[in-house]
Amino acid sequence: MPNIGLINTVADIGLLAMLAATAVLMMRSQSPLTITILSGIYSLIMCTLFVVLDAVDVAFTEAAVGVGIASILILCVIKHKDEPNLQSAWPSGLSICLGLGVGVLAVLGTADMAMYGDPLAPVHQHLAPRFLGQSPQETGIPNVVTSVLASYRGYDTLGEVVVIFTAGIAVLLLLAGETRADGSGQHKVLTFPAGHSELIANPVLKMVLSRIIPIVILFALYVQFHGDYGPGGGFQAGVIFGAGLITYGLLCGPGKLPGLISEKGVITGMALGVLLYGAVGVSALICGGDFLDYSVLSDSQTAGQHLGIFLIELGVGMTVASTMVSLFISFNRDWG
Amino acid sequence: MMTLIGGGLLCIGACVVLSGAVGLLRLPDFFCRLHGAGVIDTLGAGLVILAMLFLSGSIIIAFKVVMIGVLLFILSPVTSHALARAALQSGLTVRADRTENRQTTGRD
Amino acid sequence: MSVAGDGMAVPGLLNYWVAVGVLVCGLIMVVDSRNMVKKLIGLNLFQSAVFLIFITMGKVSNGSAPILDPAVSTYSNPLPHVLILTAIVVGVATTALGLALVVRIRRAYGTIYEDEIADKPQVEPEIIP
Repeated sequence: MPNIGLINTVADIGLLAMLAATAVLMMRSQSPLTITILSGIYSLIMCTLFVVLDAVDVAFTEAAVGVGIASILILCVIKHKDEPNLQSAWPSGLSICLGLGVGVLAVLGTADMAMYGDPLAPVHQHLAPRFLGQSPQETGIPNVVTSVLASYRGYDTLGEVVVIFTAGIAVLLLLAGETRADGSGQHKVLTFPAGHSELIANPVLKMVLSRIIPIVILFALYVQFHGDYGPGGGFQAGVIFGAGLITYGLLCGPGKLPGLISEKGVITGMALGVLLYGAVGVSALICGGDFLDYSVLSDSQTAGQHLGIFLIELGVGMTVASTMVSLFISFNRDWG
Repeated sequence: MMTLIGGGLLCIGACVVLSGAVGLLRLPDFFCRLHGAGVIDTLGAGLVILAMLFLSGSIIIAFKVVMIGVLLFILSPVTSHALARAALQSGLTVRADRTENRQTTGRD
Repeated sequence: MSVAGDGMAVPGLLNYWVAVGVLVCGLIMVVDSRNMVKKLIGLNLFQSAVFLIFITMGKVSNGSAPILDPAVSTYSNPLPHVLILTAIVVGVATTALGLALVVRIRRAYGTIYEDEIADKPQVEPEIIP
């Protein structure tokens, strides 16, 4: 039997070293393109580190969001002319002094933290034993992260979903296409800039990706509906679903995307997800329970919890997926 | 026995990944470096996945590992191809002269 | 702090220190950079350093991912995972909002470098349709 603890420690230290190196490179680099690629690498290292730290759900989210969506969104914004002459440089002395000051204070602050992996740390004494011990009886769901996210802290998650929805709406408002009063000429024609047309014309990419995208969508649905039993859930599934559609947009040109799913449909999806979430909460009220108390939704407590968690995860997935696609469409409208 | 085979494959895979990483850093120009990345993507990842197949206890996990392997085997050559094609498109040419090539790619 | 044979004591506070280092890198990127996209990525770096601190707090030695299984008895703390999972997705949505502002600034001033904006009039005044 290999020593799991030792392997864990070695992996942790190695990944931390890579993380620090990537962060310093990002700080020094001046080219937006290089920084974007480095931030993708950083996310990948971070995601592996999350797996080492047992946070599989978080790692899943980081992999889909940090490596996939965030990089693509930044790449949509930076342009070739942003590249500076100077590739990398140390920051000015003043900002380094400020950074070091904050860093020293923060390191002094960590003296009060518990050691890595200490099972007696105060964090593990209050809520966690309650969640880990009671969740099987109360919700009947093996994945405690899902049950805490959707049931125990359902109110908090509702807030997060509304934040995502609001951010999506704000981006839509900021980057709205030119709409005429008479309703004609709704949107600009979406075309890639000249350099990107090759990506669309590349037959190998088209051949392979057009067969991979359905698998990605299928995987997103699996993550959505299997989130009760394994890592996954609405947030991850929504991001993966959105990434699948965004890949299609990258492959065929974002102009094709509104043909596949209308922009109105995307915005409706954003709103419907939040509405579904809220409606589950209100129906719990109507059935005689508290807001977002799913136990009253069905005959038995666990059946009610199952139903409620299923529905709100669906709402989360809808909002997140629609928001990601809407962000991609918004950022590419500017290219027209 | 399974553990032994799995562990051995894992070690060989790690060596291949290491050599690919060294190649990625040390090879002179973009297209050669792409070769290093290709070695990591196909042979390195392939061996590691094969090792996991031996180490996975249950049939469901084995099936998932096989799925990852299939996807990786389709996607990594495609990404290598797309990268090389993008490099050619943006004006990076394959040259026989090493020193000149190093200057072209010296920026990264 | 018990030093069990499982290497539990070795990382100690190292995770927090590296997280602080990354946080400082992010802070310097935000303060020092003239490029607004770089500033936003610096903000992301800062944010993810905080994520690392939270997730490290949730780790229990020899614990397993918090998916209940009869064969496992020790689990890591699920609560930080829930907080950070939602924060990551919210983080990308707010980053997108920042990027949208950058796009609008570029449309109005033709540049994403702060010092160039300061001494430049609006090249293309915004027309509200």
